[in-house]
Amino acid sequence: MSAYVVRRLLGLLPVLAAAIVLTFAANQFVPGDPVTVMLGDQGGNVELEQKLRREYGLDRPLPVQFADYLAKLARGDFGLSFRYPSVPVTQVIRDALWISPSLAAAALVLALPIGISLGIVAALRRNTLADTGIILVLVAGLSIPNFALAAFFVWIFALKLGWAPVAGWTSWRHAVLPVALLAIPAAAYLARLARTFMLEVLQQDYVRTARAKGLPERLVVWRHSLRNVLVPILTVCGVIFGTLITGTVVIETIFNIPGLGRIAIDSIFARDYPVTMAIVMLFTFFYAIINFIVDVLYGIVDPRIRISR
Amino acid sequence: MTAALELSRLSVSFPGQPDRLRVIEGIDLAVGPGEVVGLVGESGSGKSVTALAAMRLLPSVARIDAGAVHLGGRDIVGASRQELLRIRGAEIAMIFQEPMTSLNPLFRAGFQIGETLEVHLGLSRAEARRRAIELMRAVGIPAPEVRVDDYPHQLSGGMRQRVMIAMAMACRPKVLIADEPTTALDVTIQAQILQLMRRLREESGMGILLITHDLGVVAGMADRVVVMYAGMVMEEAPVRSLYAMPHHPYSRLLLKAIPRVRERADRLNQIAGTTPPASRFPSGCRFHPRCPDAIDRCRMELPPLETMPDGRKSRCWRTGEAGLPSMST
Repeated sequence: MSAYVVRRLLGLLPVLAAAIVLTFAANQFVPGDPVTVMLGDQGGNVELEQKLRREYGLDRPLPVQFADYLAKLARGDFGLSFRYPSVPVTQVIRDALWISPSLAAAALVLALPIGISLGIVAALRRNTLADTGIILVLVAGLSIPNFALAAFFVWIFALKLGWAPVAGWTSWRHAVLPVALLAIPAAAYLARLARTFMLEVLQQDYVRTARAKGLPERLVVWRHSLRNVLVPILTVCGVIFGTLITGTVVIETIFNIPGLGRIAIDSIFARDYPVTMAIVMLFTFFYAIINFIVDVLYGIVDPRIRISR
Repeated sequence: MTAALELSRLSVSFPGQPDRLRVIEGIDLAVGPGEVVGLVGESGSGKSVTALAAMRLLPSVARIDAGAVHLGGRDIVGASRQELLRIRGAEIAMIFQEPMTSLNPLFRAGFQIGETLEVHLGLSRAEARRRAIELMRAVGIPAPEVRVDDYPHQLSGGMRQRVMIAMAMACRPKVLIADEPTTALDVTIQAQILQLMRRLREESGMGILLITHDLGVVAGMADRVVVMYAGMVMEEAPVRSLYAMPHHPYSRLLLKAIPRVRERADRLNQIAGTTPPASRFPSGCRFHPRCPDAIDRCRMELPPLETMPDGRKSRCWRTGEAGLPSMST
């Protein structure tokens, strides 16, 4: 087991490396540059511009810059922020670190039971009004863009009903609308999958065996079928978590939440490369962690894929 | 003596265009206590639908249009869901063709056996497990104390079928329906499973309805044979007399289709044509388009399943005639 964990963590290295190279390259291809942004209305000051470039090492050739970045990274040094002069990147993102993954995890935890039960109910009542109704809701949940739904939710639940604050990040109540908004498309997606998988499982021979044994429908569905539905659902949980993490970028911007998502957006606009790089690496890392957890759970749910002992 | 299982005039239909399709029609079939009845026919003849109807396990779109299913003297066609749950797995049990897919891959073998006991006899999980080990030993699974915790994928095909049998036997049912129980197994394993079923039948006195298209299996196992074709019973006879002298042309051709070592032929004997689907069952006798003995009457009128003086039954207008084309070798 511990050998397995080590192997998985080593497997993470090439993924992180690819993320680093791609983000570094993307930063260079995006128009605009950090020094121009930093100077703001002092844009014409050539002397100051050159001084800043030298200070941040931006006057050196790109490969040198990259090598330098890697060398520092290897020592655990993420560099200094461009936007907040002489503030280390770690300090910029430290307070925000857990906000995005927490929002995404909360949304996933909320979406899983709702999505799975909706999907299973739809499958059990296949081709009835209930099934059609659920499918309609799912299509709506999947196809309405999140930012549009966010505006609607703020209007209804924050402004009209006053159940939740409009924006900000001072109490747990500020998380209610963002988590709900993240969870809706995830739940809809999960429900659609659960419905499909359940319909398939109900056709299986072992379900017929369970019925032939005289098991009540409750056990046929919730014991013999559900677990078999959970196996493929688990597989997609990693992917869903990935979309949720990236979804926080939009949601945090809308609700003015100081999480990684919003800092990512801010740093991209400010051409604050070191911060952008760090956040992309973190997102990659979270994604890998979730997939690792999924793989471990996979082995618990399905004995056929137990991790080699 | 009352039969353990008796189907009388059982008809089942499935949705179709424009009308519902009668997949089996007026099936009469009885299995006595301790008796093995072979139900024989080609794929699509309605064998499995008959079995599922006897278990009241037909898919929800299927409908029992007429007839009765007597289990220990009681008709279960009108039984409520609750009653059926009590009956299934306790009074009548079933094993299936595919031991590979008939067990749930996510639960331990012993648990799946014990589940039946928990549900029907109210045993605790621990008691059920202990009984499951005994049952596994009784069906010849070596080291059952270890195997009880195996998952299906850790067991071979033969072992899985033994687990299925242990599960079916758990509550000592009066009737066991075995739907092609050996078709998916190696020949040597086949023989072992049949031997096991024979032994359990003798020990428990349950009746077995053995569904198969393998006439060799029937010859070795069954006391009586029911031959089905296109959703109807064509012939019924004790196994020896059927093999010695089949009355129905279809039975004759079926038996002739078994290759024999002594008469090595250049071509294998086959029955011309294919089994019609339920949407295109022919008029008159359903076998007439493929029957070498067919006369005009066969095309027009459906022959009844007639009981002969010797107690055998055959559904053919020409039963008893000599020198028919199907009799030539």
